Amino acid sequence: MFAQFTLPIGPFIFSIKTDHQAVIDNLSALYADYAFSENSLFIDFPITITTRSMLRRFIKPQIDFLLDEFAPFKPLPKDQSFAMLEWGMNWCITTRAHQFLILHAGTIEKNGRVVIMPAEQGSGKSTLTAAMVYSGWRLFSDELALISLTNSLVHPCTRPINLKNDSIEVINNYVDNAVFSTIAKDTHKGTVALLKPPKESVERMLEAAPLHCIVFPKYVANAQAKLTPVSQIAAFQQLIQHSFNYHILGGEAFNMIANLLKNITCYQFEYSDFEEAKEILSSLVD
Amino acid sequence: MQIAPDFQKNSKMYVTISTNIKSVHFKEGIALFNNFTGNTHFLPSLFNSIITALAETSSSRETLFALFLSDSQKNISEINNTKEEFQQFITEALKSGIISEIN
Amino acid sequence: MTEQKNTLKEKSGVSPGINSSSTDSRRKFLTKVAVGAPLLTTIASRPVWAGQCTLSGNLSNNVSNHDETTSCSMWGYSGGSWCRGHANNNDFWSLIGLTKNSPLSQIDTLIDGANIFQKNSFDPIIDFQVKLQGTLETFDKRIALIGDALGCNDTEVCELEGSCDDSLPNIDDYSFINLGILKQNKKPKTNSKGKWKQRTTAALNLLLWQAMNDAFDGCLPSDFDRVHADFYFNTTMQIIKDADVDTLSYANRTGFPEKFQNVCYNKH
Repeated sequence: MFAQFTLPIGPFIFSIKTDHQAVIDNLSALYADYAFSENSLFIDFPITITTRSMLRRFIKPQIDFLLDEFAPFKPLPKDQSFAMLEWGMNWCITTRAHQFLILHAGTIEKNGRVVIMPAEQGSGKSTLTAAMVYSGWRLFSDELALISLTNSLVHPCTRPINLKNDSIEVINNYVDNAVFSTIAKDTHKGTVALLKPPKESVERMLEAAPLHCIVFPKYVANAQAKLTPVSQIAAFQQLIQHSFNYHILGGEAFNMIANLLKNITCYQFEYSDFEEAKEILSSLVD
Repeated sequence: MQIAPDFQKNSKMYVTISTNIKSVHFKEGIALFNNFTGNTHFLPSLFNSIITALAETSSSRETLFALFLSDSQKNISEINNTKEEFQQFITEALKSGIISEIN
Repeated sequence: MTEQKNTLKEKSGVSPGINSSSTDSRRKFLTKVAVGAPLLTTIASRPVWAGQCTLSGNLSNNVSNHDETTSCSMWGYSGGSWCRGHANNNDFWSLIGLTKNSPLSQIDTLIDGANIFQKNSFDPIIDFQVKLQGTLETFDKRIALIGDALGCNDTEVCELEGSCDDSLPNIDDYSFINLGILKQNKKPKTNSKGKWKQRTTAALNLLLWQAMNDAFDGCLPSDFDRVHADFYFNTTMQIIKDADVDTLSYANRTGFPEKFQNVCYNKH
């Protein structure tokens, strides 16, 4: 029997239907602070998480992700169902929400100023984002920066934070009473778990804010926290590379990035300690 | 200033910047976007004057080189290096479609 | 995602002095760096993100492989293709300087990096028994030929499972069984014929990709005309060595998972 959730998240409304208890349990736990709606709103992304193959319900159980009736991906082992949902939701946004320039970046806000942190995978951006949002920053996203083409404001897309491998324990030790999803093991990224976002971030998920600066973070073991200014040209190049839809938006994205870079400062940021990172990042927006 | 023979060969050709190109100048360089190809290009700031000039009107290589030379403020002994740099810019910009040569 | 010049040995950033093309061919984004220090830096636009799979490949929490061909996924020729299919029939062997009868150990000499065929690697020296033209023989990787590792003479598999003439990956035409894993893997923990087939196949594709990179000089020589436009195998021998059987079995079909891709980031 299917359960259905209508879930407003920032500028989007998701509908999630599933007959998998693990998905229901994780949704209930990690989205407990969200305003689930029972009204028939316009649904941006109707998602179903289920197992299409009868055989695969019992033998090496698998899970399918469906958008409308379309299954764009191969099935995954059933114990990765919630991770698959979260990743699929990101995929929906990055493939369709071209009213935004979308960057692969952790995005946080403090004092009405947004800091976007584009980074390669494995650079520790989600871990850093998680530590910061439980240290006084507001979570916009650990994965996606959404910059409006209309007014250049950054829009939150507040959802659970995806953590991998050692980061899970690091954040579990750093954050009091951290709430995690079921841990998915043996994914292609290793062990994956999702961290419930701070309640205040969820409550303010409709509040966009202007971009203040861009910080390219990199975790370097035992490094002293260090900010190094990055030239506008170098930042431009990196932003293109970290963009999901620059090639789709074309000239519009080029103009937007050029205008943004004329008005903000960009930095390379090396860190190894959360407290030092917190101090340095806060100094940018205080 | 003595014009090198290779310039004289192209003396009836004019360099023009593609109408598809949009450029934005930064302190460290120039960002250019080609609306036709979707490619983004970056040039060092020392070519600012050339791009600015081409945005106004097409020019001969000689004119552009003279502008580049005066902008570079290099002394006489560095003219050959400057010319090589200029030639390299022309070659790379032509190949990338930022500029073209017309009669 | 944007295109960049990437070598097998290093992941470069934005490529300076590079000409870019807006054509459909995946390979045409490879451009050679100018002889002098280049003045112009180009980030070529290509519709990587229009491919859903690549997009997801660049999302940090991507845990899925995908059915769809993508510009950023690894697409290569299968073992069967190298044995008696498209890769063999179009003499891709000469492009990489090997034959089916080349010693397996020779692959090591052609690629920098991990020596995956040395005896200290994961598997014992004598790995498994295979039926070579009807006779049960022992696979000893110290003396085996590339064709042995690929199972080119493994007629039993081909006869039972259908054609071994694999050409370009197409998910509808292939399965685990066709790659010899289920068929041969009678002792899952000790029989590693499937793994050797996959690793060897991946290594050959890597060599072909390296050959294309080395030959590229603004365009590819006509020798490579028969290599499919979607062929893309930008990885390293270390990654091939580290990949498990499940990963390798997808490498020539739906692509290496994002974790194993050098280039596709950001992906993204």
